[in-house]
Amino acid sequence: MPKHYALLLRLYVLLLRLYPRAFHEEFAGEMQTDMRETLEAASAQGPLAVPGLFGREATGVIFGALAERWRASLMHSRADRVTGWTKSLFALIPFALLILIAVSNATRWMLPDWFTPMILAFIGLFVLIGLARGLPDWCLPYEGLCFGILGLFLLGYAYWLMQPLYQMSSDPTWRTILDSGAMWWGFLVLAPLLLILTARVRWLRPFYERVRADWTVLSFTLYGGLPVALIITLDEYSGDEIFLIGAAGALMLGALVYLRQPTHTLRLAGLAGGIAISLGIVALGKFLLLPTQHWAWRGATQVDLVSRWNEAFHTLAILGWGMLAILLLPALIGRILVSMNGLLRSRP
Amino acid sequence: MLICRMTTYRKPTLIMFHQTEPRDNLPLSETTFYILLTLAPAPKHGYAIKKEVNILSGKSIALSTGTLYGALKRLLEAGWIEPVAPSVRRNGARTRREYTLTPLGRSIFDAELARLSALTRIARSFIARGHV
Repeated sequence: MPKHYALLLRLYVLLLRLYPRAFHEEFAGEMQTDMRETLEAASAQGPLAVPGLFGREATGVIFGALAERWRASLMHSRADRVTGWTKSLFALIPFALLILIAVSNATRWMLPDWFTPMILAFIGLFVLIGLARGLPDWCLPYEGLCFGILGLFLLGYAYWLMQPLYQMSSDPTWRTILDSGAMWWGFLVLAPLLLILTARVRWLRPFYERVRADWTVLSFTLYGGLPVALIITLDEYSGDEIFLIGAAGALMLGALVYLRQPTHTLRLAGLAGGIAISLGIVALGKFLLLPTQHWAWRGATQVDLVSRWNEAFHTLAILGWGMLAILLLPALIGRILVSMNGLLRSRP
Repeated sequence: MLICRMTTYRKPTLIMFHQTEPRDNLPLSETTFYILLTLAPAPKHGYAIKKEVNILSGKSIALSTGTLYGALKRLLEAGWIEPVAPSVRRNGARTRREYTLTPLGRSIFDAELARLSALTRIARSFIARGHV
């Protein structure tokens, strides 16, 4: 085969990589052999026949790969179970509690003494039921809520993990950006721990298998920890209830989209939208509320526009870290699990 | 397994190929028809299918390799065709993977032929009566 045909064939082999992995593994070898023969046959018809043929074949591969990817994603999505309405509403309760707390604060309506222990018992009960049932989707926000609280306790260990990042630069802005991520760092420890636990304990293994098939399951679990993050972010503020209600509402909506949508993309959009809108509302709230806050440590210092933007920026940095922790970390873990699976499969 | 899943969701683009009665799968697309036609006499590998489809269609259909293997994958999933295990040549090299019609694929192809014959017969008789 002439040298430039070999180059075309190499390009064709590269294009074949556009196909989904399963398709590539099954057919790429055959397609490559066929293409070699097609090129040889075309070259016999003269050099002018080859570019047209290659263009047609390359277009066929690009459109074919797109169609296969679309089909694979559709099959994957359709194979997912959509959570029923009752279970979905049940899963929203941890987010609704945040609204209840905000309303109680805003209306100065004192919740009865038995309320907090009852709620904690309720959450604990559903965490246990969820564990006993192999962590189905409806219970993940409850598990996530525990994660949010546990994450705070693990902060000290997580700081230790993040030390190399702190040493990268002595710039105070860099330190501010790193500090913004502090509340998520517990997830760095908890997410792998959860996977190890679920891989080891037989009755929890369905969760591990689900994460391996669809990493957004882990994202949704971590998403359940967001109410804790919202409370901490707005901890020092007073008069923040309306923003807290808005942010909790956005989280609820994101969770509902995740539970009720059949496609992977829409589920992911639900989570990303929920995080972005809720923390966006919090950032706006801080920007608007800052001049009205009377913190003892600040004394009578006037709040300028720069401080307000700084406060909003700080929240947006938290948002960025949140996206990394809730979406990118599970995606990375999912990718590693899939690769490990491939390695295991390739053994004799 | 895949087929069972697909039928559950009633997506028009996905339920093709998944009916159990051969007639329920008709009419076939032109590409599918030609692929099944080339495989009807004997098993063939991908390149041979491509060449024969081109000849049989009077060069009106020139399948690209991407289109061909996309179609073959769907036919494999639906159980209309199956791969023939590659044999080993005298020099130790394996032959290329060939595809053959399954009994289901053959019955669907036969049903399509019968349908086309019936249509042609009806059309011919109608035209013949009109001219009388």
